[in-house]
Amino acid sequence: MGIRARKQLTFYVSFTVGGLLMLFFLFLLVLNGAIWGR
Amino acid sequence: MTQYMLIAVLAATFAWCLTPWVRRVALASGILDYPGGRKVHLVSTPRFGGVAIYLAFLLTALGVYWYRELAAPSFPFDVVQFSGLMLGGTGILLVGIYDDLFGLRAGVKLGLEVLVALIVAGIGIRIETITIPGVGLVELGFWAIPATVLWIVGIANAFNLIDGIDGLSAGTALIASTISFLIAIYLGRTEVALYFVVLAGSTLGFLRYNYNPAQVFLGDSGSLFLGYTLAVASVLGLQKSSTIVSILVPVLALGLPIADVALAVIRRYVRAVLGQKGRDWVRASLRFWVAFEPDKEHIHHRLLGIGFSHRQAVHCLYLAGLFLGVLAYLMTALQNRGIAVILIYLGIVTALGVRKLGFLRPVGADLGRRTMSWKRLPNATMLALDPAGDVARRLGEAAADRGWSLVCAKDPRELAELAGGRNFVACVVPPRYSETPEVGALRSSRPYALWLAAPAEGEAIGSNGDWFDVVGTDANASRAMLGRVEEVAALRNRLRYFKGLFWLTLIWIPIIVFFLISASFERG
Repeated sequence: MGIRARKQLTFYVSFTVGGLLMLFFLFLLVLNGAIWGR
Repeated sequence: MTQYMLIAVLAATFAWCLTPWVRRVALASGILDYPGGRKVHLVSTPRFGGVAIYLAFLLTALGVYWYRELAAPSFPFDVVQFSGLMLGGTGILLVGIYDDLFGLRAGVKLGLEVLVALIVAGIGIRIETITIPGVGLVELGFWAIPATVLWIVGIANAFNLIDGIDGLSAGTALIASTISFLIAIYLGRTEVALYFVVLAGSTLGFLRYNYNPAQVFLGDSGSLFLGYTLAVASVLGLQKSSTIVSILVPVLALGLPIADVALAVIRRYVRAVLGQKGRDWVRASLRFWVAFEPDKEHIHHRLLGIGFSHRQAVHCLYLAGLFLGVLAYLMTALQNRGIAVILIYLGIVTALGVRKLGFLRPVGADLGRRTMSWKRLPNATMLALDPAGDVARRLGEAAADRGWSLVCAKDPRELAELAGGRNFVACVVPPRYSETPEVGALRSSRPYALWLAAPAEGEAIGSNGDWFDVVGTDANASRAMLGRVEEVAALRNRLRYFKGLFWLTLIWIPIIVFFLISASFERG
């Protein structure tokens, strides 16, 4: 696999995982009433 | 305290195990930092280390969470606060990762950072009140949001900027987070202390690979994440303690990167304005964006320019960072009493430091004045004034053996041209040219270079008693002489290094005396 494809793979993997983590933390915040429902 | 030590060890272990893996990924994906331009390293190095720190941070926090759930329900861990911290942390890490992978334009990067900081401020992590010494408690009201954004983006970028030599950014973050941890513990803010200790542990584990010679760099992902986490954690620390802790405490704890950014902005702006002739300075003073144009004149570049090796420069900066951190701790411990004394002293030390590093030199002064690469470095440069072509014959081979390059000029003017902006270990001049104005000016502008005489056969060295050595008449003699040049160079370098360390240690004494005196007053 070429460097370019590998770079893109790294990009997609890290942004998917990172995006899911951000959603998870957002979920935790909402769940604990930090954003809505205070 | 034992618990916190264990957490730090856990984080360090995670970072220690994860960094080689991240490094492999970066190598395979070609996420490398190539030498050249403003870069001072010599080999391509993978730059993705921030991911390792982030993962170590996250895993350790997860471990702490489980520990609290399973064994110690009273252990302070605020899930909401942590989620807020990590929401933005992940965001800024992704910005950094994108920058590491494909590069981002400065404006876009800044915009994304502001966006992340706005989200963080939006979910309630804000600097709402600050205590300014002499003024008292100030309610920021609406200004809380811009102040928070400025603080977060500023610190994140400051760590990004000082990430110029091996281990500087990570080491500074380690010192700052350790000091902040101690301050948070002192103030009883255990839930905030946790973030600092986890960060300190992760950075420590990472530093093993990032210390000179670095196997892996932080990259933008790492430096932005470190700066962001330190900034946000200090905001969290300030949030409930701002009545006792003045705003100066976090500013001092993160003093080194802040000082570098402040110096960079002032230096570039002043240069741009003063560099104008006639009345153009009015127009130049409006071009504020010059303050953000990159250059090779950060504090660490200056230290390298003075002749320090990477390690030596980093040691000096660690000491300076530690000094500022201890001042921050003292300020907390003394609860803002005697703050004027501390500030005046800090001002004096900073002014001396800025002067010593040569930032006050006039505009257009030769920036590469002092010799670089004193240490046993390959690719050091020697200059030679060599009209007859015999110096090159005598020295060339011996210099090549050491990996030094020999640059020859045909006449004094060409020599002066070649020397401009170039760092050289030694300069070879035939005695009959030693009195020419070009050579004289060059000698006085480069006091740290070694000056060698190269008399032709039968020629006397003449009046040049202060010249360092005589270039031998053949390659073997030259080889021996270059050995001596290197020894003297290394000796001078070590001398300057320890002189620096000596002064950096000496500046502690007044502070210690001050602390002892104020402590004895309290008892009495």
